[in-house]
Amino acid sequence: MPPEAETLAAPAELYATVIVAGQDFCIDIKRVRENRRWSPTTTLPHAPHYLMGTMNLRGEVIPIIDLAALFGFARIEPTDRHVIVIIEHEEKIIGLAVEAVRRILSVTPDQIRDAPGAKRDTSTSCIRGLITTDGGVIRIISVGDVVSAMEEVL
Amino acid sequence: MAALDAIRATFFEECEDLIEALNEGLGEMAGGDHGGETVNAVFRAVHSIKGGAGSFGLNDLVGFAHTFETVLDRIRSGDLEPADELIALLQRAGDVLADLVETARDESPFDAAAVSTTSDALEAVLGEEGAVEEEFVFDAVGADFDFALPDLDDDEPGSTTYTIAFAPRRDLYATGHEPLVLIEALADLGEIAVAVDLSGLPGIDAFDWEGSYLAWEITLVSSEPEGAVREVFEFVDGLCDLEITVVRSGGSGDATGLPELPDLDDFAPDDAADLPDLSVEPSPAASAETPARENAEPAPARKDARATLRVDVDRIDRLINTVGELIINQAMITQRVREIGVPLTPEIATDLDDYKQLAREVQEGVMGLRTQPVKQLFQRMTRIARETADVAGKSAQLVIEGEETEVDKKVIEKLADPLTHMIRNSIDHGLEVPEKRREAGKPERGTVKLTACYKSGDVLIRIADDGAGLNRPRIRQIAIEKGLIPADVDLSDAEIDQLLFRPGFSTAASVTSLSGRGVGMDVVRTSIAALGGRISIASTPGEGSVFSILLPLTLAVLDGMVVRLGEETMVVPIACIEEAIRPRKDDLSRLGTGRTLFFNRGDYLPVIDLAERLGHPTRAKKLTKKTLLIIQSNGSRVALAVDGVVDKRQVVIKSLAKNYRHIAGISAATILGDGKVALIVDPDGIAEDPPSAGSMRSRTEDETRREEKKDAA
Repeated sequence: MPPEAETLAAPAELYATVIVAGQDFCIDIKRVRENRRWSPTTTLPHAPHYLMGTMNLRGEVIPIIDLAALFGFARIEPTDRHVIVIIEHEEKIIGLAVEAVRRILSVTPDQIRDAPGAKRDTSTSCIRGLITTDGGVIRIISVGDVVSAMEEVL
Repeated sequence: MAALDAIRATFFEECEDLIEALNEGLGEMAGGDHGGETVNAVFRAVHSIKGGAGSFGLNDLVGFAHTFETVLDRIRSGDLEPADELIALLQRAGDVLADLVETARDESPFDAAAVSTTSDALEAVLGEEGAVEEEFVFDAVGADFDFALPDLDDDEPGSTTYTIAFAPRRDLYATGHEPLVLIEALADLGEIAVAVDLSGLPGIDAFDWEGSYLAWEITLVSSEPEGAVREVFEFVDGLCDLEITVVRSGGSGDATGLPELPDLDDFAPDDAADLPDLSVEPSPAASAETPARENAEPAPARKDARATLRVDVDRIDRLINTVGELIINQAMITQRVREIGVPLTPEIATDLDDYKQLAREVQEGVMGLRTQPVKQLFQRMTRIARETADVAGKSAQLVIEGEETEVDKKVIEKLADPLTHMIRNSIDHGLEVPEKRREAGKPERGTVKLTACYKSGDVLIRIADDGAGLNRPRIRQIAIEKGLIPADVDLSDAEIDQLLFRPGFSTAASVTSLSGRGVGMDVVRTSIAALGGRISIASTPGEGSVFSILLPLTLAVLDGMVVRLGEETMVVPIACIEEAIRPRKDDLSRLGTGRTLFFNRGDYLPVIDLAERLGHPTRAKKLTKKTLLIIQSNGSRVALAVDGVVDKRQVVIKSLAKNYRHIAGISAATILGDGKVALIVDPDGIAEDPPSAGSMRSRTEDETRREEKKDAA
């Protein structure tokens, strides 16, 4: 890429697209540490319904959040095909259970649209924007909001 | 200047050790040991701090240390009688010195009033003579050994003149030897003249803290044979470069044979500005002021000359984590091999056992790296006790036992606050005022005993006072006033004692400057619980109270009972389990609608269904089919119902709060042999918390979850 092109276009950011309850979502790839196949979790007492439990990530005990349940859809019935996206936010490591991880999307800031009214509804409060693509709309998940939602409960 | 900063940091690290030695010595002196070595040790500590402080231009510290040291020197020489009052003053001076070191390190302002009061008191002890020393200037590298040159006219027939070139290597210092001791021993043999050779000193940039840069040339006139001179250096053989030359054999009477000695003044700090002042450090006691002549007997080498290594705690923690993984990995491999179901050859079985054994040994060794004696912590408490007694108008002594007991460094760090609070409580609330004690026929001076010992894999710390004991009617009344208990409730003594740990409880009839800080025993208990420990009280009216803290040796592992709860596996700390019983129907009785009691050893214990309490989905199972774990919690016993006991094993503790948050009734998590996470039960939390609104809600959620599962099926 010639240097001029770089200065002209705002730098593109990479997002990983995931499927939650049949819909397209995406996560800033800088937050993603790795993807893991689903493995059984240990139930946590007094936990909100979207918290599936904890699992062992190489010696670290991490909570697993069912994004579908968090976004107000039916809870997932985990199978081997489900994927756990391991994210990192302010030194906390958390797993997000999704149906599948699709591809990496390169997005420039001008492609991102606001999601009006998202903050008003708990099921959409973790959505911080929308991206229009040929395949339809993709919702951007705010990792920070997911973590604070988990911390706020009870 | 990074190099200097590093040296400075090292100085303050060493100061910590020195202050510890100082306090230890003062403690021994207070205990009646006024022996030469004890006083010497205290003197050396103060002196070394002074030496280092001078190098960094910490003048307030140097000035105070100097006065302090002068008093110690007078005690050492027998001029001053170490009476109780004087020792109390020395202890205060030790506190002030510690404060000065701390404020110097943090570059924060110090309490000038306290310093000058104590300093004045020390001066007063010294009397007029001491006052002369006001004009004190620290000689950085004063080599002013004040040995007279041999007076050759008095040279007795039969004496020999030796020149001794003595250059210590760094190992000499590393093994705890001191040139001063050797020179003093030489002085015992006859007349000596000592000159120090500073030419080996590098510039400050190249200066190695532990290096050896000084050499001495000593001229000795003695009637002893050469063998006796060599004998002095017997213990440093190979640790120094030594050359002994016989210059002139005795009897010749020819005085001019003596080589020209360098004028000692030449080595006085004329050119001190060019010299790194630190050069006193490798052997602080060997520097200027130590009055060698008064010390006829050679001072024994430093007590703790063990070779030690300072290591960054983070590095040890990383190692501990990795070893924790190794233990889990070992358990996993063993389990996997078993699961495959292939018949094990004896070789593989042996190898697996060896692996387990080795992993355990590595773990124990690594854990040991992080343990420290509680000594330093306990010594800090001596000071807390002294200050508390002063403010509260009590006469108290703190007796310390078992200070060599070793505990995880992290535990020690986190124990300081609760222990401080408890010592204050014991003196402020526990001990009576002197008059009352006299009336009760007790010695006016109250005793608080702080002890530590090992108890079956744990560490037991006890704080026992010989005061009035807990005032139970008063505690009860306060609890009623504060609405903690209903007015008509019937409580056992143990239950009343437990009220002290309830949040919002404070026994202080009047808010004193010591205790009324809004920090109650509930905070103490929470901090102890956070360390995986438990606290209990025993008290006898008129005789005193004992607070016992039971702590794990390390925060990283725990002996646990692995139990089954439906599909879940959990771990209950073995330390709190008294026994595990399969209950008989006759021993179970209902109380009201929801509660069940279990009759055990003459008592009815409340039965808590662990799965139910934690809101886990569980199929209703008859209690007689379950296992009851009888656990000790807060002085009372409860029966914890679980589906079954799987195994007893050591588990590595993993934080839940790091990535998630604290959960009521759960202290932490661990990873079992199959790689799955298991939660570790917090017995105290389980035993005391009645099912809260939160757990009720989550239980209904669990029910809905179960229903959904059913629908899906």
